[in-house]
Formats: sequence, structure tokens, C-alpha cells
Amino acid sequence: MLDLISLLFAPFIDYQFMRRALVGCATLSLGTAPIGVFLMLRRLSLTGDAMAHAILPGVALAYLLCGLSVVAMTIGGLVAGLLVAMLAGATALKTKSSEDSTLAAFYLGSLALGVLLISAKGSNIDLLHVLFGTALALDDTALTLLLITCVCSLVVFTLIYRPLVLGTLDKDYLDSFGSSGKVAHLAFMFLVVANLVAGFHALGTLMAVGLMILPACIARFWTRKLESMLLLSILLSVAACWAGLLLSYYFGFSTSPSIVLLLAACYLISVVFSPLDGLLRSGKPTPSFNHNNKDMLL
Amino acid sequence: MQAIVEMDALTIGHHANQAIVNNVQAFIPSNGMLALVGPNGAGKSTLLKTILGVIKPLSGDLVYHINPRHDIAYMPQLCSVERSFPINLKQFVSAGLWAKTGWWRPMRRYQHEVQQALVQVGIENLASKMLSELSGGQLQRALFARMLLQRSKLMLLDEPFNGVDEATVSVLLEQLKRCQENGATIVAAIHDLELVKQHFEYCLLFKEGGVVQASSDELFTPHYSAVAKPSIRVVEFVGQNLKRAN
Repeated sequence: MLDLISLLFAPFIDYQFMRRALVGCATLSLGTAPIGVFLMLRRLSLTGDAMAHAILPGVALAYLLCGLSVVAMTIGGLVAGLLVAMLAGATALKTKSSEDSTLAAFYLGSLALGVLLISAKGSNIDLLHVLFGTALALDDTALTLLLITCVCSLVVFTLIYRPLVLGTLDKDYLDSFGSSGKVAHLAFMFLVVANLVAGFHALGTLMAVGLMILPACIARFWTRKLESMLLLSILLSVAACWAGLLLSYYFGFSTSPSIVLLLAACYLISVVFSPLDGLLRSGKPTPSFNHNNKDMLL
Repeated sequence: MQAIVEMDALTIGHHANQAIVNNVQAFIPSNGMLALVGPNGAGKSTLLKTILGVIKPLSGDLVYHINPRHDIAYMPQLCSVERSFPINLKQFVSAGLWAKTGWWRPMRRYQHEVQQALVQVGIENLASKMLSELSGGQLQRALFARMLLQRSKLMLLDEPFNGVDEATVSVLLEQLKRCQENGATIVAAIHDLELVKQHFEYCLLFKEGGVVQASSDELFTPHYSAVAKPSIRVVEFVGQNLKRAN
């Protein structure tokens, strides 16, 4: 028993870099998991992934101009992400194209530009750093940034919670009260981008989105209540960070893929064993209603 | 007859170069029950959203004799609701308090109003059920209860009786009548012409990009075509549908 406890806690007690990594990832989880729940409920799970790619040129440009500066890369990522979201939304609105096609076009262009910029000057190691993060080497600036993003994110999330719920549930009805839905949606997309940008310091742009979306997808298999879903997704997210860091510590695996793979394994287990919708559950599946994606971008 | 909203040469549509209905000259009679009748895609929902202020008119004027920001309640179509959203019926209906509570104000003090609205449409025993567990009729009643909570002077309903059982239709109609008795004005997009004939005093007929206003009695008489010449084909259309419905 004592061995098990030591196995689970010792690395965090013994090594500061492990503590920093855990604090960083757990802080990130607090902010990203609730956002992931709403991305999933708004049928925008893949939008999260697209946005994660879209921030790359901003980060790359900041890296080229300022080197590995956390603040510069954060601002660059934010600007690039928001620009892609707005351009995709505006193009869809003006040209009657579907939003998934405009977002795909803009994020792919953005991603290519990002890779081009990084390969123009940086090495493959730099690219790996941006794509997969450096959870085990979080400095004070990165930790502070994660903390600020988390606090701001939770505050804004609380403020926009009600219109966000109603806008997801019945957008037409919310629109009948004025522009609350649009404002809340813009603030929400800002939170998505801000959390992905914060996330790339710890987990990298590719893996940060995993920490955002997967806990929500898992939570949905275990609870039907929104409040429980939000709480469970945060707990799952923090637990995965902890377990992933241990895996990475004991077996030498890369940290962020370990965390996301653990969540993916959890997802598969949920798909099979969930008492609500699992494959092994007896009886008919609960009806689900697959309406078309609504006008969610801008 | 007093008007609560007047439409003056109103042209509506979603995009500037694609008008759905042109040059609407009509009014919503105060304290009346007005049905919007016409085929799918004729512009009924678009007109409702234009009156609501969600869609801007392409041209022409809307003259309100009420405060359009506070005095209009809206019941969207059933299909606009994301039924898999993890929320229970009572929480769903509570959204009707939006005008009072907005983004942050607490809802607790209005709980008796929510309960009353649930009782009015007969779904108080389903309050803790999740949306995904409700039938179409139950959800339609919930949408109605949510609109009742707004206690507005003008109620806009988009196909409130589509795909629901007769019991639900009669409960909702009874409540609509009660709202009218209490001074509300009702506008509803409706497909069932028998319902229009029996329960609605006035009609707006949508046909081929235009709208004609009539009383429901006129709608089903041959005389109507002489009264409103542009609507001869409309009457034919309505007549055909009525035969089909029978």
C-alpha cells in the first residue's frame, strides 16, 4: 500500500519540474475542460482541433521575431486564432458557404503558413516544441500565463454561462432577446482560442485540444446532467494529467501524448462500459437528435 | 379595429437580393388571433422573425404600437431545440424568465411562476425529466410554457401544432384563448386549415411572394376571391389543401 502511494506521489514530492508540470497541466484542465463540454454540446468538437492548428502561424511569427518568448508567442497565437475564426465566420456569412468548409480552408492555410514559417528558420526540434509542448520544462512565465488564462477563463465562462446554455439549446429563442447569443458566442470562441494558446506551452498545439475535448466526450457517457458533466470533465482532465505525467516519468514516454492517450483509453472504456450509452448496456439506445450544425461561428 | 403592429410595403428575406415576400401591406389586429397560412418556404417563419426584430426588413416599414424589445414573446419551431442537451424540463422552461433575469440575475424568486406555467400546460409532473426523454408533444408544451412565462402583449408562434397529438393541440389552444382573454395578441404560423377556420379570426395568406390579409370566414367562401382579387389563386390553393386535409 505504502509502495503504491509512494509510486503515485513520490515523483511530485521529489522533483520540482514534476510539481510544476502537474500544477501547469491541472491549471490548464480547470479552464479547458468546461469549454470542451460546450464545444462538444455545440457540435464544434472538430472546430477546437481546427483552431488549435490555426494559431500556429502567429506563434511561428512571434518565434521568428522574438525567439522562444512565452508572451510574444501567446499574443501571436491569440491574434492568429481569432483572425481565422473571424475570417471563417465572416466568409460563411457573406458567401453562403458552409462554416465547416470556410473554417477548413482558413485553418489549413494558416497551418501551412505556420509550418512554412517555422521551417524557414527554426529546426525540427522547434516544430516539435510547438506541436507537442514542454510540460516538463514549464518556467515561471509559462506557469503564470497558465494561471492567468485559467482564472480569466473561469470568470468569463461564469459570466456567459446562461446565454451559452440557451444559445446551445435553442439559438432561435435566444436571438429573440437581442444580440446576447452573438456576444456570448464571440466570448466563447475567444476562450477557446485563449485556452488553446495557453495549452500549447504545456502540451503543444496538437495535444492541447485533446485535453479540451476528450474529457467532455468521456463525461457524456457517464452523466446526463450538465453540472455533473462539467465537474466530471474537470476531474477527468486533472486525473489524466497526473497519470500521464507518472507514465511519462516512469517509462520515459513523451508527456502530452501520454496524457491524451490515457484520455483516449478512458473514452474507449466508456464507449464499451458506460451505463448510459455503452455498447454493453442492455436495452435500446437513448434517442439522439442530430440536427445540422447551426450558425456557430460568429 | 386597432392594430398592434402595422406592415407598410414590407419586403422580407434573408439576403438583400433574395426577397421571399414582397410588399406586404397588412396589420396585426390588437387582441386578435391571426394565422399565417401558406406552403413551406413561403416566408411565414421569416415574417415572424422580422416582426420579432431578428431579421431586418429588406424594405418597407414595421410600425409597432407596443415596445418591440419587451412586449413580444416567441415560440420557435420544435426542430430549433437541441433535444440532446443535458438539461431538465424545468430548467428549459425557466429560460422564459430571460427578460427578467438576463445574464446573471437569480431565477430562484420566480420559481412559482415557472411551476404555474408548467401546470397550465399539464407537464408539472415531468419537471425533472431530461429533454431527451420527452416526446414531441411534451416538448411542444414545454416550448409553450416557456413562452407563457414571458407574459407578453404579442405572442408569435411558429408552427405550434406541428406533429403533436390532439390532446396537446387542445391544451395549447385553450391556453392561447386564455391569453387572448387576458389581452394578448396571438400570431401563429399554422398548416392545419381546419384549426385556422375554427379558432383564428384573421389570416395572412402567403402565396407566390405576396401576402393577402383576410378574416378566416372570408378565407373559405367563394366570395373571397371577389373581395381580394390578387388572392384568387390563393383561395384556390387554400381550397385544394382543405380538400386534401379532409
